[in-house]
Amino acid sequence: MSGRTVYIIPEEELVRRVQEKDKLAFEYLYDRYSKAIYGVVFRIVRSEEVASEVLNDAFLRYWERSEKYDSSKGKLYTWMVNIARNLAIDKTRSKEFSQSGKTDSVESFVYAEAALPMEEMKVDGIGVRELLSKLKPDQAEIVDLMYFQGYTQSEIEEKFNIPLGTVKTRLRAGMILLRKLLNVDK
Amino acid sequence: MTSKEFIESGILELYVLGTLSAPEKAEVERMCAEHPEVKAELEAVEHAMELMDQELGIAPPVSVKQKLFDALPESAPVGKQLHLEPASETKNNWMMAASVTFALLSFGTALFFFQRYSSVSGEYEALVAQNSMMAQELNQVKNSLDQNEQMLALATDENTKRIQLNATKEGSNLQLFVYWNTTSEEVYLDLGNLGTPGDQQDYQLWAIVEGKPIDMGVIDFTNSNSLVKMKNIKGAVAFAITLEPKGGLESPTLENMVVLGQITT
Repeated sequence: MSGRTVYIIPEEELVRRVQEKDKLAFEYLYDRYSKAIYGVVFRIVRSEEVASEVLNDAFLRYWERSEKYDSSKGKLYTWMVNIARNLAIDKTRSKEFSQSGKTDSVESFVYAEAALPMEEMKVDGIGVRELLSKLKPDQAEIVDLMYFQGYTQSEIEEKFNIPLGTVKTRLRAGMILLRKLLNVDK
Repeated sequence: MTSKEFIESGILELYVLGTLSAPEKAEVERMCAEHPEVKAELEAVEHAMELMDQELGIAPPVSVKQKLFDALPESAPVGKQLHLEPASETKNNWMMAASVTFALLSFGTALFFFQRYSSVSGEYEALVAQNSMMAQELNQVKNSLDQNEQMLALATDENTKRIQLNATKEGSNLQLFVYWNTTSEEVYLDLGNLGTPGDQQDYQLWAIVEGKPIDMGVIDFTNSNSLVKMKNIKGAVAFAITLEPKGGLESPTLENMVVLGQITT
């Protein structure tokens, strides 16, 4: 599949060098991950301007707090994307963001009718909408809300009246199918 | 809950999405530590999500990178070590080059000074030897000067007689002088062209006093000086030298007389 980054610097070395404030390594980190993270952020905030801002803030945080990363807790990308996702979610919940009218409030969310501007997310010949269409609707809904839009399980439980256990199992089933579709399993 | 049930519950996906509470996260970490299959599945979920994000990634505007890197400090903050690898290598290379250069310079300097030292040391030893030789020479010159002064004093003394001793044998051109101070009774023999007599013989000087030969001693050739001090004498009328067995005799062997000189009054 296209678009995969060829990893030149081993993750362990990359982490060490970024923690030592190695700018070259940090630029490598940006080049390797900015596209994936910008995609995640953009799907949550739905604005190039805000996504750019979040991406910038996220990378500044990686630079400043790289020593907080603990490899025993997970992969570097997991740590990075969670920071970015949280920053993006914070943006959508901020007063400023709500007033801009760009929020994708739970109330206005209608997944099945393709209300989301999925077309602009289409990259490298494969889009989120196309992927989600391969899943069962109930799985696709949860995957979209949680994985692509950054909702928490408790938010979904609260807003959509879906029990937590069901949220988790649907997410799991959907993710396994996506892994197969994208052929990304090890 | 078995590890399979744990995995199937979907909690690992939530862990990777970062939406678990602190106790739930701790539980996942504990399960990963205790069950390798849980850890393996977590890594699979992480790997899958990373690759999915890569696949679904969107290139950010170029301006974001520009702005971000412009905002980063130009150099590492104070107190933090900068280990920029290429720069570090350059630094190491530079330091290595400096060390090698310094070592070579040091070695070169040491070699230079050692050679200088060896050279100077040799010169010093040569000078010491030369000095020693000069001291010896000076000593000889001084001795010679002393003797010359003595000889001059003797020769210029109005009481000193200079007696010429001539060869007594046909065909010999031997000629010597005896300096005799009649007051001090000192006698000096100027060897002139008299050669050494060989290992088994000695030249012996005699003084003739009242018709009788008096022993004045054998001539010592070990001193290179041509003027040799002999025994004191008074009332001499003539001096003669004979060639005698080693150590000399009490009375001269007349047929072995080589020179003779009479004192003119």
